[in-house]
Amino acid sequence: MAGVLAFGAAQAALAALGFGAAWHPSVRPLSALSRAAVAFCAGAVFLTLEGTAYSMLGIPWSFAGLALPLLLLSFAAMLRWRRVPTLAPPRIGLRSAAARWSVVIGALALVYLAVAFGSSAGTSVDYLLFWGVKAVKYADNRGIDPAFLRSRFAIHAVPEYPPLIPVVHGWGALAAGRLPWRVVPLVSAIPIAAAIPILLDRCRRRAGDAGAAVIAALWTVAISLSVVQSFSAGGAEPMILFFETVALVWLLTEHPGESRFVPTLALCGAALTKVEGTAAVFFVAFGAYLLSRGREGRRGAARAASLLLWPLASVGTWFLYQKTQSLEVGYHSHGDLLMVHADQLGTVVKELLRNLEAGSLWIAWGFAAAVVLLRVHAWRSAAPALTLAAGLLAFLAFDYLHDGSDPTQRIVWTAPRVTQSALSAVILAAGMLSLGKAPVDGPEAPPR
Amino acid sequence: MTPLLLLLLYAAVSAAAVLTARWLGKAIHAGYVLVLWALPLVFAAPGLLTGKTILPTDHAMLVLPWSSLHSAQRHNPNLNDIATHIAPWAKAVRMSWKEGTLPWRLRWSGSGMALAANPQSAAFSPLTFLMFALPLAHAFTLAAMVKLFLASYGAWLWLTELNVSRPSALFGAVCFGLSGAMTPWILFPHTSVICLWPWALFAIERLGDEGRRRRATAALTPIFLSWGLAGHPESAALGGIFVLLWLLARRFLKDMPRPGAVLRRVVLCAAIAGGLSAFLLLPQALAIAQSSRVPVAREFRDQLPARITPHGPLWRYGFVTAVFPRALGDAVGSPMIAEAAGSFPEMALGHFGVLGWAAALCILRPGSRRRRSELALLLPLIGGLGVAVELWPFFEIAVAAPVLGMMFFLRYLSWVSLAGAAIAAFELDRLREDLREGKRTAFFFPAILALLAAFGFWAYARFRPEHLASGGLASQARAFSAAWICLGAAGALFFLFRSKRLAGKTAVFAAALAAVSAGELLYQGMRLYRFQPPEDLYPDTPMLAFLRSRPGPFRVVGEKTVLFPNSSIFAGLEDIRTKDPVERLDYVQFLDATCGYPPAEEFKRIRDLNASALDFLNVRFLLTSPGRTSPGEKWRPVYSDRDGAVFENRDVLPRLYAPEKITLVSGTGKGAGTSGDAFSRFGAPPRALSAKTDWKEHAFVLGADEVIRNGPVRISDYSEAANRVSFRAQVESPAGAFVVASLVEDGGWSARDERGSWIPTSLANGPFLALRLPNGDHRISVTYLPPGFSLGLLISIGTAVLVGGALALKAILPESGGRAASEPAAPPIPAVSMPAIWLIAATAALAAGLWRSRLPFRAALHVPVTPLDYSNERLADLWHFVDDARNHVPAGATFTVLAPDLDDEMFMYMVSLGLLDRQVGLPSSYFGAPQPYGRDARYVLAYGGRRPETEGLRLIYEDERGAVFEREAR
Repeated sequence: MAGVLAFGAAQAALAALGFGAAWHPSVRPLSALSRAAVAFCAGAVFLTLEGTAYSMLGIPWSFAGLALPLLLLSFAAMLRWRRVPTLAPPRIGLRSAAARWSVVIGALALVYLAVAFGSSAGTSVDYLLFWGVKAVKYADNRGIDPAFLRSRFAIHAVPEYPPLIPVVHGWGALAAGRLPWRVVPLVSAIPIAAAIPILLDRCRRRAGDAGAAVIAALWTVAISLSVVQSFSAGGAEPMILFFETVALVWLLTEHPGESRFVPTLALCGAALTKVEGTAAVFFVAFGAYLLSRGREGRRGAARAASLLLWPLASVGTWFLYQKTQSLEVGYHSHGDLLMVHADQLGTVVKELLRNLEAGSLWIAWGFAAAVVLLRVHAWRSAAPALTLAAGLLAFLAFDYLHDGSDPTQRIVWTAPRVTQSALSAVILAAGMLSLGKAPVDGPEAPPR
Repeated sequence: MTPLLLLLLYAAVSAAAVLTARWLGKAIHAGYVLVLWALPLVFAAPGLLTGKTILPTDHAMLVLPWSSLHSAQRHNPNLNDIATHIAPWAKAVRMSWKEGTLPWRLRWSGSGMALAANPQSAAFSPLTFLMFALPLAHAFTLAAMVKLFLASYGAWLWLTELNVSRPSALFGAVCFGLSGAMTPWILFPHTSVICLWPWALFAIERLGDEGRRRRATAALTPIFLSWGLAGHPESAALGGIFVLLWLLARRFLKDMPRPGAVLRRVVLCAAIAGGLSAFLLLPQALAIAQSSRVPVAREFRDQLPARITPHGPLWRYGFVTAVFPRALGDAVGSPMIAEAAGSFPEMALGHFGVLGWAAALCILRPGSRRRRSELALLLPLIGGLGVAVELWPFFEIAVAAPVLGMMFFLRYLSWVSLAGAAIAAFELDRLREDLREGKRTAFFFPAILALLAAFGFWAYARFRPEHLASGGLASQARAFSAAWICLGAAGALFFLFRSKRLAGKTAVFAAALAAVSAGELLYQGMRLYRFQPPEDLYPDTPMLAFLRSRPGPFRVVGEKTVLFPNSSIFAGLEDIRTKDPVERLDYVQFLDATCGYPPAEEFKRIRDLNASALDFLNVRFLLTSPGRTSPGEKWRPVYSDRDGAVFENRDVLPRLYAPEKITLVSGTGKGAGTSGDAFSRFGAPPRALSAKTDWKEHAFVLGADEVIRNGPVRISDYSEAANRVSFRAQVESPAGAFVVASLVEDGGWSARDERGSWIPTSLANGPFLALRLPNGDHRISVTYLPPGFSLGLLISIGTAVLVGGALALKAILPESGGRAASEPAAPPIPAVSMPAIWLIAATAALAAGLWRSRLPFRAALHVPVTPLDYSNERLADLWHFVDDARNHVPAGATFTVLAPDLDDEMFMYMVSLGLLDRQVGLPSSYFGAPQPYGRDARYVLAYGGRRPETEGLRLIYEDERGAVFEREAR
């Protein structure tokens, strides 16, 4: 029991490791919950980078050894940023009927999520096969375990996958002494829950209180159902959903020229979580360019490029680790990159559509896609979300087309999980297109 | 505590109803609401004050084994179905929901019959869900109170919406709410629908209010939806026709502005409700179509004296029972006499109080102008009465109507209660107006009272000899006396309020008439129920406890009425007998052909207790009255006490087994998997099985014509829940093998193996399930969904998506100019706000997700034993083994894993790297390819127990999943 509590506390302590981010001028106007969520995001990203760097340099992991530098860094950041003045926005009002019902519906969905994850109904087999195994190995090894990653009998553990999930879980195992296998799935509901306050806080900029509440409600319902249905608990999906959603909602609701500290941080997290996270970084950056092209001109392109820079640098750290440990560097494609089996296109499209059920009988996808189609003329104001959704689906279809034999089985296994980022993006796009006004300078002056 | 909770729930539901009316723009008149709220309290007071239940537990206490507990006397025989159908099914529905499964299958009766697809189980009724808050016995009291309030308050709302004055509407509401359409049927699902009829009519009236049209539409749809879900499609259909007739009559009388638009909207709401409830209605329609009652009902309809040539009423006493419902007996205080056309509750359907009738007959009275709405009500009133008294052409139209023609014609009397009560309210207004104006025509009212009193005298005298002979005359005298007292009181009130002192206080006159009528109807209704101790609702007995202590699964059969069918639900025992309006005809025919069980009998019993088919049906125990000797050599006595005797069947077969020989029958070529009749599929009559005795050795299975020797199958770990059966099957035949199960296959069963591959299903020995298993060791999972559910669900989802999409489009797109031009008079319907559409989408997604969820309800309280308990049973088992085994391998030691299946072995190896992180894992195989390293491992984790590779190794740990061995140190 003590181990379980220690593991849970260590996961929650990620927010403490990144607490400096909560003082960033672009974050301070947000609610306390949102600030804690941003700190959680920063904590996970910096812990992963730190853990990878330690492993590269041969510094053994310890609880204090990992925590102290990050706490000091956070403290320094807090001292630096706390002096920058910001304007506090009015508190979110949940008095309208729509907002109240949204709270009820969202709460029900979260209860369902917690019960499903806690009772093992949504556990990812990948968690037992390699995410958890890596975490245990890393914790035992006091660092990323190159011997394990090199082992010919650990190919199933996909050694090239980026390190965030095993590092974050390994950090918990380090604190607890052992990985509490039964509890990890429940803990992986935290990132989903953490995204909600940020969604609410940021969406109200364009959609008002009621609009933000209903967007958050639908997002919570759709994602909660989807992660359970697709057996994502304990896997990487909750975390990547958190990172991508935070990045997207921030970009969709930003004022011209506003700091992109948080989306950059979140995209670093996405790139460090899954292979497709790196692809997502490109799609989001391209969407951000399209969004800001009209209003920021050439500067918009530069800012979009800078959005790419840090996530690529983060994933570069991982590749550098691979290089230093004589592991294969980079990610593998399924088969020859240019060998596409176009005859499978019908199967791929049909199966992809079939697997967009997302636990809600296609209602979440159908509704969001219908709203986007009806408001497609205003697509630019939701460009980052639309490019991510479309790009990710195209990326997946392209990947599946590399299967020489019938790809149905692989699509059935993977599509319900990997399309969730696209679902989140489509919901956000639909929200902005149907409920959002054009982004304007709000009462809280955008920090530059 | 329970009565308090009951009152709180009743208050909450009533408040919700009042707020709904308010939301629809109706002002709350607290005085009227309180009066109508208090009437059900009076009705249920004997139970509320004493903690007793309205359920007729006396019926339970009259059959063995419960009759051994104490003596009981049946109070109202007409409530037999409550004790033997409605209450047991309500219990089964509760058990199913509590188990965390949907109430699709009634495993307790008839070797598995339909539960939710049996409409009267009301498995998805909102009222059923409300009743979950209370113990079953008290839940029925709550339901009765709620229905009475909804009926009377709904009628009051509707009548005031028709511009009837509030006091007169109160009179009409009392007359309908406590009418014969409600009180004698208050425990039946019929009234769950009928109590909502006036609500639908009220919402339809609100459709005419342009400011509230959107809300009225939003209200009408769930009302219609509740009709569909409430558990009595007949009453829903009758209500629908009533609405249609009423609207058509008003259109004909030009009483309604833009009736076409209203009718279109009503049809739209009905279509949406039908679509949304299709997931349930379609399985119900299929179940009814295959039930044993269809041929009985069809035969009854064909024998009715309908003819093309005009004729007068063929059952003229229907006029008498409409006004004096007990005139032909009531089976409570007065036995039924030969002139009755049906049971007392059926004949009483058209009674809405003798004062109600007196007021309604005032429509014949000259005086102030009658309103068109009132005249329009004559159509359903005369139509309903015409059908019931078998008057040409009403009766002929009803009998010739498709599907509805099979409905018992007296049911049309329920129209009379609603239309009659409404006319009575209109007429009371007219009478009050004439009283105020001092018109002489008002004197027709006392004349009508006198005429009705005289009619009562005639009826009393006419049937006196029969009642005298049956011993029911005293009860008749009380019934008629009550009517005469009411008529006299109404006359006295009339003259009192015509006096100079009270002239003009006609509202008080109307309220006083309502009070008298309420008194009469409460008296007539309450006497039908004798509130009884809730602990008498099928309590446990030593015999039942003995049976439950026997290892399952098994079924029982009772001799004659012992453990009456369906009552076994309370005992938690599975019975092969049925008493069910949707019992499958093919199953009953099977029982009849093999054991003697005539389908047409109302109270069927097994004739041949030594029939070998009972072995096949997994009947392990026979229950008889105490002291009975064994009926045959295969029945061994195992229990005897004052609550009954139990005999155990020596030859009983398991519920699932593999016969040695299979005769495949191509039959008519129609495969299994739909809900059609099994014997039609086999192309053979049920009697073809009459002489069959070799159930163990041989089975008929639907397939290609062939006789095959069946391969051996070892079946173990059999478990059965409401909608799921699972078992392990070890098939030792390269061609696979058939197993047959004594589970009724109505087309709803489907089977998969441990990998999720489909297992072909078919029919065996008539209506039973057969599975064709592949060679090897398999864990088979057989699941049940009622036939028609998938298509119905698709329609329901399609409807939800269409409605959601239409709402979204309406909100998103600008108002169409073309439509505005074609209907200039129609005011624009306010668009639904975008946040509301998002909320609807979120709610729909959540509802769909929860519906689709594989998460059992008990998950909320589940502490997982493995991280895969609810996500993958097979892998959870493997993980569990490795997790247990890891404690027996020292840190630093080498180990390997073995499993009968190489995929399992790979899974175990992968998880062992995480679970045995301080040991060194050496694979014996990797992705199916054998590896030599495992042979060097010190410890061997063998899933599935001992294997050839573990021969000679030292066993250090063993559980039901596997074992851990240690090699000698080299």
